[in-house]
Amino acid sequence: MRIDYAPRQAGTLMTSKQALATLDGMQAGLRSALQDPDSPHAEMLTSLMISNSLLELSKLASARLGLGEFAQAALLTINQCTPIESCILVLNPPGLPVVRATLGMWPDDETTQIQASMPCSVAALYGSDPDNEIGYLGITGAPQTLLAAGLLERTTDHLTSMLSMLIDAEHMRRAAAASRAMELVGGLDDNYEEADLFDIVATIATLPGIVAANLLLEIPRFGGPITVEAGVVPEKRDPEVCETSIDRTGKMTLTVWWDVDANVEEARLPDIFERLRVSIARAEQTARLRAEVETDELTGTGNRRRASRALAQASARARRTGEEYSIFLMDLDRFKAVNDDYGHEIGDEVLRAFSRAMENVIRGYDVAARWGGEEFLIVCPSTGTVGAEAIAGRLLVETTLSCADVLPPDREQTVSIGIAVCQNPEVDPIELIRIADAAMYQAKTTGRNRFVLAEASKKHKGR
Amino acid sequence: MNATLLGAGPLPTQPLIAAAVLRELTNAGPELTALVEIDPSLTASVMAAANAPHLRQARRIASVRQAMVLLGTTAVEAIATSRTAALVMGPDDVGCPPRFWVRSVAAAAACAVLADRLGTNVDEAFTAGMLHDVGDLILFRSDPELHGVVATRMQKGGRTVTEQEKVLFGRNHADVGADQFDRWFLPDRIVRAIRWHHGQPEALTDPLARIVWAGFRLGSHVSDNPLPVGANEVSRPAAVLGAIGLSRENPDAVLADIDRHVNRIVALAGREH
Repeated sequence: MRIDYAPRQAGTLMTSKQALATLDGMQAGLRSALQDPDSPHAEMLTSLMISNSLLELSKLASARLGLGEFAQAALLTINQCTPIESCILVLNPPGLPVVRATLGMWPDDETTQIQASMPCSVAALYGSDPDNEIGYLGITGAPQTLLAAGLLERTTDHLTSMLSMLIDAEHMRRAAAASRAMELVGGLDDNYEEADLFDIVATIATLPGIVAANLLLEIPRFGGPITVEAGVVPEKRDPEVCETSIDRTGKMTLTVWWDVDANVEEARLPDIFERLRVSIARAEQTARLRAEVETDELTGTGNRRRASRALAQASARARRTGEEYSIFLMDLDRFKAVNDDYGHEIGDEVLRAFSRAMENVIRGYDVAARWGGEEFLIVCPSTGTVGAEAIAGRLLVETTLSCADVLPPDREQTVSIGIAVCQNPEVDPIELIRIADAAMYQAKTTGRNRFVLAEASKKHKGR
Repeated sequence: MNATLLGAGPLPTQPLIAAAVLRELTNAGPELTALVEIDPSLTASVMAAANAPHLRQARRIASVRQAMVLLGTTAVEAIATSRTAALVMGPDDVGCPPRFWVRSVAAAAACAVLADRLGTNVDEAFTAGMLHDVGDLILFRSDPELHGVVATRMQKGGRTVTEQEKVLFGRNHADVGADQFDRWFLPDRIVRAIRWHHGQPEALTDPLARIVWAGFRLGSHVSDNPLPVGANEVSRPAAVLGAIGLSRENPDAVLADIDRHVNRIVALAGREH
């Protein structure tokens, strides 16, 4: 809108007060004149409203709406094109859940007291089979002349002619949505994480008929239950709960809320739930097998295979992100003497105590492993010099404390640590181990119980 | 709760606009869409239609002009026809609150002039001004007698209009209107502007809210409508302009521009009448 500030012309401009008073004056008596029962306009308006209503409804057919959306949009359209108080559209098509849309206060709602003063007009709808009624359209508060001109019958006829196509489209839409969910569930990766589960739950929540879903996974590997939710939980509607065990220890619970009286088979929920169970069980089994294969039997920490895989992953990540990463190569000081003085059983206990010390010091995404004999390796992704020094310092202290539990009071177990911080992602992990080994050797030869940082050749004396 | 308070029934259009719509329908004239913009009920209906969820608009429609472009002439004509028919075919024995249209038109004109001065969207401001008191219309139609009690008590002074409505209806007209437009998915800035048009100007950060706050006050001033606000509230044109950062504007010049705008609206509504 552009405001045209034309210069005031003498005698043509009224004050707002005068102008608005003129407006009020022009309105006086006009309302009763328009409402004259013999008004010549009623017939024209009636015919216009019915044709407008049918025309605007036709536009909805090509709007690619779901059946529920269509029902609500159809009522809005009728409400826009005709002066009615309230309306309802109920559809119960074969093979699909019931759709019920209302606009305004339909008398079936909680306020039954207005039913007496508000006559309802209802007409049936038919699908492809003219003998089978599949729903109805009801309106209240429509002017009598509009009803007499066949507003309800013509509108239901029009809706009937659109319904066959809409119902077919709804069947296809529902099948496609369920297939998408099946595809997502079947493609669950062995290394799945919480974010992958959210994608699946969000898809389940968009299945036809379902408005909200909640997945609860109780699997030891995650250290606690995982809950993933999507959608908006409707009020006053009981959820449907599907529960199953993944294996001997894990449990999976899927809870869904339906928006209409849909049945489970319609959304293929049992199939999706079973496929999800199989996918998660497979991923968990793979994780368990991998853990067994990559665990050192004596200490319970990772073995050389686990260390190699962690090294490869850290190297790949560094090449992708350009981040630094660090590896620690460690050798227990004078360990042969422990075996000689106290026997192999105590020696094994010391190895286990050191493994616990490593697990206590490292972070969730670091990997600790036994490299062979009394040599151990830690891989710390996304860790530079500062982080590596902090971990190494804590490990020197933790080693002595942890091993004190299994050794006589006069014997102190220490460790020598060689650290290689990789700042160039192109460096081969094997070369990095060689650098860390050289640093560890330097720590041994300069007095033990210390760490040496290979890149910076920094030395740090332990306690 | 009363059905009208839930916004179930169609809101009544103004008889003069209904008459003009009938004339345009009969003569297939080009002015029909222009009439929509100057009637609060038609404005509300067209805005609700344009923001209907099934249209899946990426952004919400904030002015009647945008709405008309989106919906197309036939859909706008269909809405104008049905709201005109609601009046012609009755039985509507309730109508609108006294001077409801006059103050809506005055506020819309004032909002447009202020938006132009502030360099913000004039169409949105005009639409928001036209809709600002639809909550009052809804309250009136839910219980005209109780609505009359509010007016009577206002004359005695004391509480503000929103406080009186809160006591008698349980809700004030600003909240009723804002909630209705929120249900119709109108843009948040319009809903906010309508909700806070009786609020404190310093608390309003949104430009449109400040424009509607000031526009309804200047509208009351130019239309000689008693301002339904408390004694302590700002009402003098210079103070109103100062409160929204237009203290350098000459109040008389602003009021003269509002007069021109109102003249144009009245000329459009009353053409050939």
